[in-house]
Amino acid sequence: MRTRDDRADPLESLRRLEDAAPPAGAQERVLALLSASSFGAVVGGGALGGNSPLGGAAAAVTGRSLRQLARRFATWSLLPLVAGIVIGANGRALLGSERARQASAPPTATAAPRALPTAAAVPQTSAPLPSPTAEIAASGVVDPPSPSDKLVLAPKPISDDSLASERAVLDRARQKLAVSEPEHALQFLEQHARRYPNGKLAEEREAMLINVLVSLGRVEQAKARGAAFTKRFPASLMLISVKAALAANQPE
Amino acid sequence: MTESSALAQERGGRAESAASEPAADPRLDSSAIFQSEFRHVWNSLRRLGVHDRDLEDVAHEVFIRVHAQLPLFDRSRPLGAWLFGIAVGVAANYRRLARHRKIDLVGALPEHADPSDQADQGLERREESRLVHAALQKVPLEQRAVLVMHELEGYPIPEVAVTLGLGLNTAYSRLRLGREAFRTAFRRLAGPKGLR
Repeated sequence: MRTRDDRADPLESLRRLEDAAPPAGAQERVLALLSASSFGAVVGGGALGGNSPLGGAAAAVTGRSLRQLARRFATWSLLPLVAGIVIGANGRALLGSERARQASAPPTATAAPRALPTAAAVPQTSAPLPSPTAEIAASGVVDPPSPSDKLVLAPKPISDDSLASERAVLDRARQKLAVSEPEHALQFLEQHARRYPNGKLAEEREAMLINVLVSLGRVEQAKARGAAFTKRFPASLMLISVKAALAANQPE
Repeated sequence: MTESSALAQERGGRAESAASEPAADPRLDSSAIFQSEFRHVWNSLRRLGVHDRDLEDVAHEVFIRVHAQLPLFDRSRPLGAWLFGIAVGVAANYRRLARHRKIDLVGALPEHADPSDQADQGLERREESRLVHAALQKVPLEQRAVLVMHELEGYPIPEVAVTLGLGLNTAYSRLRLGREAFRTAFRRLAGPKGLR
């Protein structure tokens, strides 16, 4: 039996929560802090200092607001034993960064302590992950909301909520694609398909899904989805990219 | 250009660059992680109870750890999950230290929920976002980490368990408890008439 509370499940509000943009300049200020630490040999003084657009910003912020940063950072970094005790082995990194900051010597490229994985290698796996749909279904963890599972909000078209929720899921998929995590992007796309099989953004989801499947090497699935996409959205502007993605994997 | 074609180009571009420069300067990758994941880490830390005024320092701490632990990163795992696990550890330390500083984390956060969104979100959505953040702060951190990672970040529970170093049963249990704690807190904060 469904209760009033079931219809307004707060978990739906949680799932709708979108990422907020950090305040202007926050990323640059953190980068400036990193640039002044041992990390700076990698991020600030090295890679970003040269060819990254953030490199110049970091330098500018370092010069402009170093005093402010130092005052604020002192509050955090000089807490009892600087978290060296509580974070155990990882505390070495923090203490190392403190020492580097105090030394005030500009980090050099040669100071990079060790080789790091390449961006392309970071999250790639060759084998397809098990289907999140099946996995989650088997676990019984996710209870896909029925269309009536809407939070009772102040007067506002329900479709706005629905669209925002859809958008939030696709945005997360897009974020994962942006960091070369197609497997995880696929999880979000499948999540969207479960929650909003006929949602307003179904067309966009399907187009993304086809691209993701191609990138994962699941070409046959991508083709099947592509055929269904063409049939379902014959006038879609995304047909071009869908066909391009599929064509790119055709044998010569 | 459609979003999808942009994605296709983006994906193609990455694949091409990966193929053409497999041994590129490894330092670039730390910066790439910082640039691409900063926003995600920032939001994760807020959801894990870090006060707005401390976010920059705590985010800095996260990326210090990222740098230190990157050589140990299992590349077969999702980068985002790994980062979230680090964020959970740093946030836990922060909260322990915050207790010594007598910071009222619970009372402080709702006042500052999603300031950057206020320009383009409706009042109701801002209120909903504020309530979600406030309710999250009422959920014990060990349950909240599982709740956020699964419900919001979309990771399946087995991945959550690995990331947070939990047994599978423990992860499921914390999810169940976290859901209930969140529902209870949200409804109490929202009042009997919902968000109105």
